[in-house]
Amino acid sequence: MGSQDDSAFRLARGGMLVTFSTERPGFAQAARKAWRDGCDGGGLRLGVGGSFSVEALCPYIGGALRLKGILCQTVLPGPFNQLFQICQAPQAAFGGGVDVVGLLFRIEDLFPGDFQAYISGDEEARLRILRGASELAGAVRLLRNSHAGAVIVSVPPCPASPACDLRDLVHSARVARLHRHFVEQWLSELQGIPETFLLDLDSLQRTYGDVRSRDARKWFLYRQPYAEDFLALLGAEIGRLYSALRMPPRKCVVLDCDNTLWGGVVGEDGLGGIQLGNEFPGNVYREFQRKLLDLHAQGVLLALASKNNEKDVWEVFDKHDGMLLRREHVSAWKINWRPKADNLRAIAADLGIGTDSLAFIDDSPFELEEVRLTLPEVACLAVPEEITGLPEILALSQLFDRLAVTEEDRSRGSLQKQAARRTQEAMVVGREEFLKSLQLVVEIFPATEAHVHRVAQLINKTNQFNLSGFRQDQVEVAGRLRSSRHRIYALQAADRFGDYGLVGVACATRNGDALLYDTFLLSCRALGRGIEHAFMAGLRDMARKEAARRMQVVFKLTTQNAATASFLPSCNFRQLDSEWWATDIESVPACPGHIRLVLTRQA
Amino acid sequence: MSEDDLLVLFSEVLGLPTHSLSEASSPENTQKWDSLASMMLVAAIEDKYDVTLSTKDIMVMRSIAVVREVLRRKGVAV
Repeated sequence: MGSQDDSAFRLARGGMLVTFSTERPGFAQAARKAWRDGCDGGGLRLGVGGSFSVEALCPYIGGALRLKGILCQTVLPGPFNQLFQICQAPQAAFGGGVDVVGLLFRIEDLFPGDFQAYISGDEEARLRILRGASELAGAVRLLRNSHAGAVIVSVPPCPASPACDLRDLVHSARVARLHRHFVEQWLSELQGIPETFLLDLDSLQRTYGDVRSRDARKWFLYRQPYAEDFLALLGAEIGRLYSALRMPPRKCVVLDCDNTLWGGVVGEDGLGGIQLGNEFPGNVYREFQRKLLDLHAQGVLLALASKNNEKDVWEVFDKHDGMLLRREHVSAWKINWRPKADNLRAIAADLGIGTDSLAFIDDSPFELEEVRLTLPEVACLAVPEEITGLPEILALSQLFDRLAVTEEDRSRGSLQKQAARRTQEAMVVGREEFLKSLQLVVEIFPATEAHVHRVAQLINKTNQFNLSGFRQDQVEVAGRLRSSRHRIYALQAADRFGDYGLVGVACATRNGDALLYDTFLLSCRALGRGIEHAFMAGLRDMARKEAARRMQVVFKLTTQNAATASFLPSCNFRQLDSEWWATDIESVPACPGHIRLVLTRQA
Repeated sequence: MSEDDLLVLFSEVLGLPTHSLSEASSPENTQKWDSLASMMLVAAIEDKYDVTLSTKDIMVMRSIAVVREVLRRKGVAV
């Protein structure tokens, strides 16, 4: 997730600004490394089928997902050019269950004979190919009906196999015509299939450069048509599509003002001296504001965090002709001389969202670094050195990817302004509804060998919600798993936006009729939603199952876990001594109403 | 560049410790050097040494020793 600000980095090569964030040097290498570094057991399983060989693509998909911070266990290639078989029996085709199925194809691979015939003048062949589009769509429908997870299918590129090169003047028009008809048919058939997402391989290839996307060596050697860098890009785009399906876009962009919304410093240059308008560089800032307004129309909130005098900033908003943003577009603002991190926290609180829903844009490396260190969950974007790259950092960041814009999204900006209630009750009501809408599911189960690595990782790096801070290494964890006196419970959570993965650990020892927990922790990404209370309730149920009557937990207060001081009392634990807190089982509160608790014997 | 550089590359791509590799390592005697690994090796080598391998080169690169020789012929100091 450290790559988030990097993804907005733009290169200018010989006057042409590159269009993909993956074109910064080293991306392909970083993706391959992220793939090789592996995943600790849990996470997404993808299956990819192609009309060409997709083996070499899989590491790029997996690597791209991991670089985005999505837990990806594996990406499995399906059998070569057997899309129909994959649709009929995906589990057999991939050698196991998968969560997401991706299907990539090219017209010339699926219908080689008819394609050749068509190029040579056979019109019937074109009709057969179009019927083939229907049949493939039928197979996708079949897959959709039998497969529970997401289905991603591609829009095929214009054929350009060695058999028919688009640089060949004689045949290119015929091929282009076939392609247009095919895509039209394909899209109309797919429209009727729900929860099926399109990867526009056609547009991707065209935008990247049809000719440079391909590598003849790889086609003839491996039946894999693409150049390495295009493979990396394709992997990244599939990762991006999946990410947009599963992870919500950032809810709010917090903007600096000077040298971000306009050129110059209003406190020094005055209203007339800042650069904002139709001439360079003012036109760049104006275009950036236009892009911000686009985001706003899609439901992203805009906020300001600026070190300025309030009146100077509002004067620009109210009086400067070059401004596209107006006060009514801004949902929250902190214009003062306090540290930006404090202001970001306050803005998040005002808007009733988490700091992990914020994106922050500033031109000052100092401010960005301060926020990165203090609030790592905030996505920081730098105003680029080459200022003409500014308007596009929002799209390039991929932070606001959204597959569909709802009516609710469109009106969010104004709803938020109307509903700027600051009373505690209003916030609580809003919060409860919000929590319910998450559809949280928490699963608690005894950890097994497969979880040892992740459990040990959590034990050693969780500091905030860690009641005891007791560290164990992998060997010790594995040892406890084998001991009948010890218990290690793992917690996995998911909400409607996606899977959190394994985020909670509790370790206990049985002693008489009590269970003594020397470890109770939760990853910070799972905080603030009541999951910790669900965890305690789940542990109580597990304890009850083995006829324990009391629960004891170690609590050692540190500077990092200070916020958890009220947790055990809220679960009706009483302090026994300097380390231990205790309760009887029946006093532990029930699981919070907005969370569905699932207790299983095994993962 | 030290001789170990190429071994380190193979080690990273194959996921094997350098001490388990030698000039004689090949797809025949190294289980992890499968077809996918071969493709990733080509990508890693072209990336790291900034060379373009012809299909002739790729076809003969069936051991670390041969890879080293192919690269040396291209002027890479390995």
